[in-house]
Amino acid sequence: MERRKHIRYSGDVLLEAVHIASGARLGRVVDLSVGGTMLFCPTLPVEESVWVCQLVPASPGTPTEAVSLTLDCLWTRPASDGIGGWAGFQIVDADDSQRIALARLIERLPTPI
Amino acid sequence: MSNELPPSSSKGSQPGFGYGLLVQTCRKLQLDHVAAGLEHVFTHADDTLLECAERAENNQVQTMFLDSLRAVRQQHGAIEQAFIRRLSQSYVHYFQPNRIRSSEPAAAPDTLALIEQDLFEERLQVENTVAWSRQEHHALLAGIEARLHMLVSHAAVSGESPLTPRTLADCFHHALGQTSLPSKVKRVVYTLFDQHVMREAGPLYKAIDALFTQAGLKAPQKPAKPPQKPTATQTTHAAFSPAAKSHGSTAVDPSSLSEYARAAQRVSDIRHLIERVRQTSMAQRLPGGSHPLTSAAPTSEPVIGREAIDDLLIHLQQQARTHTAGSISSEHLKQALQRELAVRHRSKGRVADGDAQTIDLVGMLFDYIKADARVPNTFQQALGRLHIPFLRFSLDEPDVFVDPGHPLRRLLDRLALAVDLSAGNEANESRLIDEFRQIDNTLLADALPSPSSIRELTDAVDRFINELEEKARLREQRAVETAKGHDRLASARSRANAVIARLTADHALPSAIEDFLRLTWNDVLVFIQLREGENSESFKAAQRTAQTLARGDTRHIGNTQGHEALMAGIASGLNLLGRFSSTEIAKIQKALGSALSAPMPAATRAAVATPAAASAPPSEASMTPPMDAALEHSLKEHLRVLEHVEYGRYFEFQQDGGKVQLKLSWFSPTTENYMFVDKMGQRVAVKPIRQLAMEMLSGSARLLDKTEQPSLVDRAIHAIHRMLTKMTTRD
Repeated sequence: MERRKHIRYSGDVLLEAVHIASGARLGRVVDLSVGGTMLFCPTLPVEESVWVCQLVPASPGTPTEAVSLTLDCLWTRPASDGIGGWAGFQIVDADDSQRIALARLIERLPTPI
Repeated sequence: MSNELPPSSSKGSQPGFGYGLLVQTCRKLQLDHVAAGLEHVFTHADDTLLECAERAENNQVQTMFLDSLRAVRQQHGAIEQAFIRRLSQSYVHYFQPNRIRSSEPAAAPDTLALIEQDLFEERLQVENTVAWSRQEHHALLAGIEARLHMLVSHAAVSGESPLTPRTLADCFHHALGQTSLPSKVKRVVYTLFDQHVMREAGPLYKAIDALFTQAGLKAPQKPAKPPQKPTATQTTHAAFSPAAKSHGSTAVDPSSLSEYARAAQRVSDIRHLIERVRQTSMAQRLPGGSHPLTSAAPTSEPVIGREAIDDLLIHLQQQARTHTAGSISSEHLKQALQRELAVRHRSKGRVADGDAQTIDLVGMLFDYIKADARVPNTFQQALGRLHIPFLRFSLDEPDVFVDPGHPLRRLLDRLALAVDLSAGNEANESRLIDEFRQIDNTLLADALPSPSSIRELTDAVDRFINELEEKARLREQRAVETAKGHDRLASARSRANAVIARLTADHALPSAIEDFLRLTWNDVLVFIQLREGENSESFKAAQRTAQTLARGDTRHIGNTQGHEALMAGIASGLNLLGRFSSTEIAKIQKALGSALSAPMPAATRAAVATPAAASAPPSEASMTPPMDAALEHSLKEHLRVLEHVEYGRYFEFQQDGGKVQLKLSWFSPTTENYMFVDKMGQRVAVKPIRQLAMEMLSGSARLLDKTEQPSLVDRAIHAIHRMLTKMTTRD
């Protein structure tokens, strides 16, 4: 499968993507890799829109450091119930320290499916 | 060793170099043959000279041969260079006789007397070699020579062509003559040359014969006569001109011509048609709107030299640079040219017909560029500034219209492509304007730049194009990936819908379960298919979970293990979505458990149509009005073509009163949609196959031939030819 290279959650939602400029919640992280992420978004972003985001722990107190990334929305797909949907993002920019933090974060995620 | 003919001078050379590419290819074949042969010559020289030393009649001769071993090794490079240089000069002498003067001073009579006997023996050897070779390759050589004569338009064809055994032998003899080697050693080396170059020339002549045939130059039935002195108006392509054919000279079937020869014929026809327009009425305008160049002077007046025209063009270029930012309309240019020529030559003298045709042709070419809808206004002026430099080159090198590899022609074509690719993108346009500044600095100078300078400019434009094309390729790749993703999604969603519809079709389910299956589990089925495939165990398990929920299978209820397994399956599927927290999942499980434990509705829903089926739009077939049988047949033909068309092919669509060319980038096997991208790689259209076939049927879309992506100059030449033919036919 094409997405198999991605690290994915097999447990509960751990991370949220937050739009840095507005502080709005962009979505829950469904899967994450060094190249990109898939979010479940309450409001679907526009395809090809670019977001400067921070991945933060969904639950306060989770010992996970925040990672700042610039994401480019590649595709969106509404949920069957019409409430929100999934969106695939490509990481288009991250400075070296954030890439290292992302790699550390991925290492600590649950085992891929 | 250079494989190129010497760069043309800007002034004073003769026309008649219209088959540059063909000639260059011949020359390359010959030089390759010669290089390979010379390698053998000098590889065997040591052994042969040693043998000669062993068989020497006396010690003095033996020492001479032994000493010459080192001398030959040392002078090997010089001999080869002198030979290649001489051979290259023979091309220039033959094709452009006025371009170079002989740099070989005549030998003083006393020198001749001193070496007379040695020279005699060497010449005898050359003559024997030439005679053998001529006899051996008689038929091939006759055909090659005859066709070479066709390519030469200048008035002074004389002597041997560069391809004859005589030229080869003489050039090598000359090269040996430049060395200090004793005559006996020279004759040994020459014998080796005879063995490895002259006697091995059969494949070379066969290759050249095949090349000419491939270029549409068939060998005449009889060996060609020596070239006739052409008239003043004959041009390079006279052999292909309608006039030439009508006079029964070289009859060439146009359908048999190669692309190169067809281009040559097209340009020749254009010249002929310009002449017809000029002779019909000087008031008539050429395509593009300018009047043909004329001269008040009668034909009895002498022809104004190329140098004088070039001086005047430099003057006009300087004026244009000052007053109109370098760009000048062809009408204005021709008027200024005529006015200045009349003043400078006091109305005595006229522009030669061939030159007038070139001025008109270049004028039409630049009028076409300025009118080309693909060229944005920003760049029309920038390209227009190349008019005078292009004209100055074209007067000297008519090959520019025929040979797509001509440096200036290539620069213009690549610039047009760069303009096309960057149009609409401000940053790219700005970068291209910078490239044009560099080009202006080089091309608008008084002295015409060398071919290598033009190539450097083209290389810079190529780099720019490559960068844009790479970006377009990535953009297209992304568009295709996205489309594939959508396609996979549509396919997975359709399959998930089918699974849920099948399970819910004949059951009246509690709304909590039905809503869950339709609105949530549906996504789980889609996710699993996308990630693991429809044949995966996970997908089968998710289907079983749905089945259990749909059937309200009471065997699981009350059975703690079965109930837990069901709830675990639900949690696992929901976790996959990444949408729900554990609290939310627990709530969903609880609601489903309650729904399962409640009494199931008794009535089946066998007769109830699924919402999907009920709301399904009428099929396309039922909406399509009946079609005429012939049209239906044509439509099927288009559909058949579309089913087999490969990615990367271009289609032309009528759009907003104009035409737009789009590349077929991808075809969805699921939706049968064809995705098109523009030159930037941007997805711009998605058309269902039937719609596309209908558009092709109506003529609003057409599949372009693979070769139908001509360069700017090709497009212009085709258009000019078409318009001139139409004009003159109408008259």
